[in-house]
Amino acid sequence: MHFIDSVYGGQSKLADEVEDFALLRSDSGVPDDRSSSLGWYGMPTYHLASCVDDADLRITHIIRGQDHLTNTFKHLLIFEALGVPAPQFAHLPLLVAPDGAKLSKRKHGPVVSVTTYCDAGFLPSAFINFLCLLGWSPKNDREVLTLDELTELFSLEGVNRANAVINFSDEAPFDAKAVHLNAEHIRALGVDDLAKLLKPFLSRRG
Amino acid sequence: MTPLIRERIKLLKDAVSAADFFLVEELAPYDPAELIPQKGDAALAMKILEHAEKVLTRTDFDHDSLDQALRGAAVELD
Repeated sequence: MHFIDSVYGGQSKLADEVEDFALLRSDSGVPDDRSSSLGWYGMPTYHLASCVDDADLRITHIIRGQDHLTNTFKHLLIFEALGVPAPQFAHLPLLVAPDGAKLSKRKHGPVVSVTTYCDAGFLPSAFINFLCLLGWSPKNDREVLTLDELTELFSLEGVNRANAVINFSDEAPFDAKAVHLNAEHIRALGVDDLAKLLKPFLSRRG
Repeated sequence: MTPLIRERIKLLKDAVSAADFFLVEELAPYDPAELIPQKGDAALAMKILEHAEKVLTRTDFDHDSLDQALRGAAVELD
């Protein structure tokens, strides 16, 4: 089996080496579910449900975390069985904490919550700018970019394969690059626009 | 007020501390320790502040006049 990932390049595996995997769970976990009482009609697993959904919606590109790279071989088999062409795959590097651990809602709650950044006064444009630079950079090394510029410059070919580290600590809860970009986006705002954005922060103080 | 703090804040919430002197009737007293330069002592801080006070009492309160007067005062003290 072979496919070309837009970020990680050519990926090959012998079909024999793809482990057996479940498509339906015999126990749906719902006692009065008529289908589960039949024994062989259970809840579809993630693999089956996501591929059927992608085929049904005629998805052209699957862009997802690099931790799904090996699942792709299973998904190729399902697409083949469904008789539909497989979408183009692009796997993105993961976001990790300074200690290398994958960022998760459970372990890193405030760091991965958008409301944390909103409450601190990050501008949406700066936050988007920061997120886009995690695992991707434009060829000209520019850093302060608007959404329009990012849209113009972005390509999957520019995505790095190495995981992207978000730096944070108890003393400095926000990545220094995010803060720097926010300051730059604030300076680029007109006085009237900035005044409107500051009002809720100053009102909260009373 | 917005143009003044635009250059100084990195997060919108910083505006609260950057602009608080606009919003209070009376400023909180300075910690005298903050007025002492890193390579100086209280006596040096006192000398600089007394000189600055003299210069400021005879200077117009606008950017160019203040800038010129204080730069001149710094050279005199050097």
